Amino acid sequence: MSLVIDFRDSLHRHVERELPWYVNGRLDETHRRRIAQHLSGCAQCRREEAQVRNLRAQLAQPLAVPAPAPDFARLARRIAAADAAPKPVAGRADPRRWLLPLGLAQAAVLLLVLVPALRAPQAPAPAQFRTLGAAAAPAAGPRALMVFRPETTLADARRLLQANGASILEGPNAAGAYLVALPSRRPEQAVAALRRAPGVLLAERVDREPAP
Amino acid sequence: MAAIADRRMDAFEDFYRLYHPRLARFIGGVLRRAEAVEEVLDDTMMVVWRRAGDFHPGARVSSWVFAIAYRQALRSLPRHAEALEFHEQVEMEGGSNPEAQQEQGQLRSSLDLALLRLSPEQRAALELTYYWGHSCAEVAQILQCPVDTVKTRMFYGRRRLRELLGPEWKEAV
Repeated sequence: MSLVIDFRDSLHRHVERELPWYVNGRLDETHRRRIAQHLSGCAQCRREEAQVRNLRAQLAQPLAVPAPAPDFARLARRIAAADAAPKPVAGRADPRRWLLPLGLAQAAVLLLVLVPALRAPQAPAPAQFRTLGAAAAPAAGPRALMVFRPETTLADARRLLQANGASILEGPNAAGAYLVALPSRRPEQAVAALRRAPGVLLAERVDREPAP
Repeated sequence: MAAIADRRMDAFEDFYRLYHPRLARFIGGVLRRAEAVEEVLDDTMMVVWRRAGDFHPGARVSSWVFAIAYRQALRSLPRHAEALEFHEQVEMEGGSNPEAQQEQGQLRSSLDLALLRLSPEQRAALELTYYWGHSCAEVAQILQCPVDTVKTRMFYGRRRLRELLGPEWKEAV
């Protein structure tokens, strides 16, 4: 007799534990049928089922706490800041490491300009922009920082650079920016041509202070 | 995800717009208070941006993202513990004062207050099952725990709500 009671008890317990998924319809068919069968003959578990259904209905309501408003620009600034922050480098210095943080730091500043600029193209560039050139490496040939439009393919970008005697040095970094080597002859002309190309969002000399 | 792993900001922005409301709901459901939701949501997005390369193409994006959000929400709790205790005290005092309760009643139901007294792990299981309609196995995957643990959390979470609400349980639920 006690065995029967134990069996019934453990069945109640089992059903009680499975009810949330019986109620949300996510049990497999065999399992669902077994529980439905038990419920049809057990008033105690049916009462529990009704409560679980009500609890589910309550928790499916919108939250009492207000949801924060989306702000992608803020997140983009945080990413740029995190990428620009100097990271502790263990072991021997790799000469390439000098170049990469340079590109990232510039792009971080750039992103501060770029993200609001994407939303409001008429917005003037903030003063930090002038410091880009100051941060750039001297006497390493003319260079530009470039951002391509999202729809521009890498193959298109390469063709465009090749046509203007330029080539990618580094990138893309977190902001999607590339550090590009410009031809030593008439670099200003090349950068102007790149800037005019439809697939380009931004092309800016970074090897010297840009003209005010 | 592949585009985000390739550092495509435009793809990440699309992802952000799609997942911001979902994560606001899920994190809000786990924390059940407004203060930390924005911070945890941004932390989650930062992890997605950095770890998109770790995502397995066959997996469900939402499960992967919710698992990250859950871990970030749990990590945020010690940081907000002091503010949390203060609020709880105020709310509990309000709960014993009928006038204050009436005032608060407009904002928070008894059930909301009782949910605050559950563990975040229990709230996460309730939220994923009842609001998001996940199966037990899916909840276990998101919460990174065995299926039996999920069932236990759901069972004791419900029992605790019943204890906390007392006679109100029948009205609230």
